Amino acid sequence: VFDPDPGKNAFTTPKCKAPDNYVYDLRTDPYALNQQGVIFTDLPDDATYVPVIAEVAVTSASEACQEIKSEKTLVTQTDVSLPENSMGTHGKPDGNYLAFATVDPRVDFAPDALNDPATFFGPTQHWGWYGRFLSTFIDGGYIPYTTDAMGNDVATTQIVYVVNPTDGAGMPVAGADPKGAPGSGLDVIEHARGQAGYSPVCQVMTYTATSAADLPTTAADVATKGTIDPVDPMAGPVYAYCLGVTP
Amino acid sequence: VRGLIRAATILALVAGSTAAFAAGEVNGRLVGTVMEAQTGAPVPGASVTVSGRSLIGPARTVTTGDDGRYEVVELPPGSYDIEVSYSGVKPIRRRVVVRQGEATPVEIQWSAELAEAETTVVVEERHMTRPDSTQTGTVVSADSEAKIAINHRYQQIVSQAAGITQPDPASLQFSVKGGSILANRWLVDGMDVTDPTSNTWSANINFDSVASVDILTGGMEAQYNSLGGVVDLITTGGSDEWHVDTSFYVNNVNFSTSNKYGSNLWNGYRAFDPKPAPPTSSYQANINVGGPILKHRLWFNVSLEYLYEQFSVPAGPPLNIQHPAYFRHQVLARGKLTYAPNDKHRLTLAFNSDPAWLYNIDGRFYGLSNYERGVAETQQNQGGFFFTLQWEYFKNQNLNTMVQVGFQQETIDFGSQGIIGGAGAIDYGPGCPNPMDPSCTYDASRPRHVNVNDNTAWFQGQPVQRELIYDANFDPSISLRGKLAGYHDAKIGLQTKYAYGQNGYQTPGGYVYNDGGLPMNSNGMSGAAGLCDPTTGGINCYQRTATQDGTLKAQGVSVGVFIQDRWKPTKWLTIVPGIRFDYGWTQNNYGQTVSSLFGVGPRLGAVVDLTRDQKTIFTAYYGRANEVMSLMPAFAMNVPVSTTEQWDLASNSWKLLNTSGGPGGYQIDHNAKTPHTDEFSTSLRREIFANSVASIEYTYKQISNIWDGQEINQIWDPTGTKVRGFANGQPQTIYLLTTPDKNYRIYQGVDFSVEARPSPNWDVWAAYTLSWLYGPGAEQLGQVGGAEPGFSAFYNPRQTMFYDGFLPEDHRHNLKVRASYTWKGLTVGALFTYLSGAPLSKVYFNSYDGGYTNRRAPQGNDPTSPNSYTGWAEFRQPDQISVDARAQYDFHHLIKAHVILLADFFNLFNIQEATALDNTDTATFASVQNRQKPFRFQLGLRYLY
Repeated sequence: VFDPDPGKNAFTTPKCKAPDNYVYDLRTDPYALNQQGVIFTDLPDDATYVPVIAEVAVTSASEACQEIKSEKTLVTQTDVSLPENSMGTHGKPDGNYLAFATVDPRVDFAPDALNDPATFFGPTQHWGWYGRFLSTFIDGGYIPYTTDAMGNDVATTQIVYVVNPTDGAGMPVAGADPKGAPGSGLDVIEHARGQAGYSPVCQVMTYTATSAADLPTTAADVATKGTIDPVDPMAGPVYAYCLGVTP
Repeated sequence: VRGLIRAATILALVAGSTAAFAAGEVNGRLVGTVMEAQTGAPVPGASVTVSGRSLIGPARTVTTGDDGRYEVVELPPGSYDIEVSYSGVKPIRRRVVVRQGEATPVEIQWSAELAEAETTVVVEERHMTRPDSTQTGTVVSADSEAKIAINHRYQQIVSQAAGITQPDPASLQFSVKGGSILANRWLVDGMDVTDPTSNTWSANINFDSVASVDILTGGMEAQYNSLGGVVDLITTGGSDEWHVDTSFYVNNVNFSTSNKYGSNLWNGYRAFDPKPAPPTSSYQANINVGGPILKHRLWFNVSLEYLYEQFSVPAGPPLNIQHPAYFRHQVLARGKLTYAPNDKHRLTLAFNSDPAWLYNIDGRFYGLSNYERGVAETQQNQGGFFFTLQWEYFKNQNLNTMVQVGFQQETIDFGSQGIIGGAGAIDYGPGCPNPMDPSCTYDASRPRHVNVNDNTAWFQGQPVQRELIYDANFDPSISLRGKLAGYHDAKIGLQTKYAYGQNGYQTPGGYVYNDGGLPMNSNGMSGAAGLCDPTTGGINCYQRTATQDGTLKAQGVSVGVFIQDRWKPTKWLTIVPGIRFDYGWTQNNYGQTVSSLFGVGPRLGAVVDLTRDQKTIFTAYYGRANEVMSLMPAFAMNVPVSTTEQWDLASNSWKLLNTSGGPGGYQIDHNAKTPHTDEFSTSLRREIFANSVASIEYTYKQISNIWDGQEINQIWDPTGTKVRGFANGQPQTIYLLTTPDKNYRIYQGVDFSVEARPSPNWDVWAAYTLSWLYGPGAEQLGQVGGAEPGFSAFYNPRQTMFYDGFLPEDHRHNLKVRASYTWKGLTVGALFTYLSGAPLSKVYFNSYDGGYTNRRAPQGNDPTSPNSYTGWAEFRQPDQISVDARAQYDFHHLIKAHVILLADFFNLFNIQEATALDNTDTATFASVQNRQKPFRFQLGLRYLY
């Protein structure tokens, strides 16, 4: 990640050098030459993939924007500063972790703020590099940490889904799982992106609404309009990646 | 859209019409020195008289100068007798062949004693070192071509020259030293008859009326203006003797091997199959008569050819029914009058006509014949006429003029057979075995349906296009010769042209449907089951395109002025300077000026006679040619409005996808640069033995600022697979017609060639070319109108980087050998060609375009691995080898009449290597799509008087 603001924002103002008088043209430019995409060292091509990235902070030194497109080039580039690891090659992670979910670059995202030139590094679909190829990912932001008795641990937020799904008229939703299901449109996240307490890693919980006609829409609502329970008390906590995008 | 694509492509390939922008040489010259044999001293004041069958009027006589030099200019190509005489001494006689556009060197060692000895035997000589020319290429004469098996098409002669390849075996268009097929100029008797709308040849000409073909590939003098090559046909004229040449050729299915329908060699008609072989045959009759109307004054030559040919592909999947055979009727007529009222004037009037009617024309294409119902066939009626008039005035040996005037009219009607040819022209039989099938009932108002899952075409032929073209040419020139710090042979000329073209459009049924849905429908069925019914909709409805009916016009004017010289400061050095200035203007249907271009074309060459005997010639050359007027861009803008809709399964209705064409579909770059070619070439030629020359040539050529349409409205996502918006907010394509700096081609090549007639029995030509051709300029304007978006660097900006690579005409190795041997009336001849494979690019499906328009590796490559450029690998078609042979016997030895029986063996060894591979990212990737035409035997009978 080039010139990050550790723990706050992975996409601060780029310090790479853009061409003189450059203005990003969304039609003609395949990517913005006043930005620098992050560089991935691996792709989600196996079942063990998780959307968690160990950040290696690269310090720009007036190199041309987007000139560096691969790890191979990065580690040999002399006009950027890259902390070395114990092997002296791949750069040393700075201890921060990011939730970047690599996705199919052809997938449509909503909202499609196409005519905003900033969309190259916009709120939803970000572009980076892997081995000279453009790579697409969703930016879930930094993963916060907390200190507990066992040492550092991932700080999570809660995502709750309703177990008695009903439609707006209070009738059970046809075909719905009797226990409800995450992602059915009735989930509530405890802390959204930008709020204190946000984390791209969620502990999954369920809630039972007291009124099918008046389902909660905020975390505060959940506490007053339903009861929260673990998904399966006997099996221990369940976690999910719940990447929130910048509003 | 696909239908239009095919129509546009076919039109571009077979289009016929006219234009004139370069005037070519129709005559040759004799140059040499008369020297005293013992001392080598020049012989001034000797009389050199030249006469020959091709020269109308009296014999030409010139006198050698103080340096013994003589030159006889403006000689029509042919065999000439030279008589060198000196007062009181018996003359010396020589016989030489003069070729068009070339200087034939004849050095004469003279002495009184030698003259006595030389009058006994006169042997025809050929001196082909071109001692004062930088031009590369060759002249192929009809007598050489009469000894080998060749289809009666003059275009097939062209590919025999060094540095020329034929990118598509199915079309007679050529790449000359790296130029595209759209970069050549086609001349007949010196008049440019290139089609101004397609930049390809415009006219068919009776093969027997062609006396010789001058194929210029580079190093051109200023009188020529071509980004590629120049092909100049000289047609047969009359003479003071009566001549008749009549012939008949038969090519029957029973003498030939059948074609294939599929990828594999067994996908075709097989031996012992009880069914009759699919029809493939041709019959051709020719008659040519020439002679004097007034001896020495007025000659005529008339020529007529009739051709009937048919061709078919065996039945195969997916339809598995025998498609109606393609067939063609063609009449070629030509007449030529040559009039010389005295020795100062020569007038030549020529007329040419080439009507042809082509039925079931999709049936000749491997990729269509088994995919299209007979009722969905396409027809083409084409033809036209042109005439040329030349007036040559010879004031004296140092001054002559020529005025050439030409006019041409051509038409092409192309499209649904039921509309172009009338209902009676449709063959319902083999293509429609079940008369109860509703698809067999032709309805002129029913739209065409193409199933995109299996490419089957149903119900209607392709949309109708009616093209009409006129052009007129006026090319005067003056030649001046004299001495000023050496000898000069200068020429000044004006070349003017007016061209007009119009194209009418009509879409039967209002729409072309692309049906079948993507992905393939759930049960995997295709064909009729996958066709869209717009009243009910569903998964089989995918896209449909409506194209506005109407007629669109374009016109253009060009003016070129040139001056050139052959300056010989010494006997062994010739400097060839020249320059031309060209201006061209074109206008589209909407009254807009599409192009207003000016170009300066300097030329500079040096020719050195290394051995001072005109037998070892070294040349070096630089030249620039400019294309200032082509109706292609104006015609490209004249695409009618097309609206493409896509079926929306959610709302069960058509939704507008995009529009293209019309006046809003284009913008004009008024600052476009003039397309041009810069060429550097050098050559070494040597007369290695009698009547034989060997040469080596190196050429570096860059063709720059090629016309193209740059799409400027669609906003693609970074992957280049999806349009995310439009610059003007409207879902349409907008093309900027321009000549981008990044649209160029670079060619480097070395040609080795040998032309030899060491004895009257042998006639040998061999040429090997090693070349490289690269750059992004793969095509020209093909994507405009949505025709072929995947073929251009300027359609999808995300794909531009993948268009810089080996170009489609980049054949690394090319060997051609033409050889014949004649002994007592029996002639055996053959044409051997080897051509290494052409580059291909793997393409991937783009759902927005509805076709395979995306690449993932540079042109000429298969990316092989999706995530590593290290996997990119060159992807080429297989190499091609073919041998065509002829055996003929002239019964003159037995019956004192030239009755000739011919047997032609095309593709003698029945080599059926792939000529096209599937380059799409599908399960059939790299499978064979087409093969070399199989073995074919032809019998001919010819009578010469």
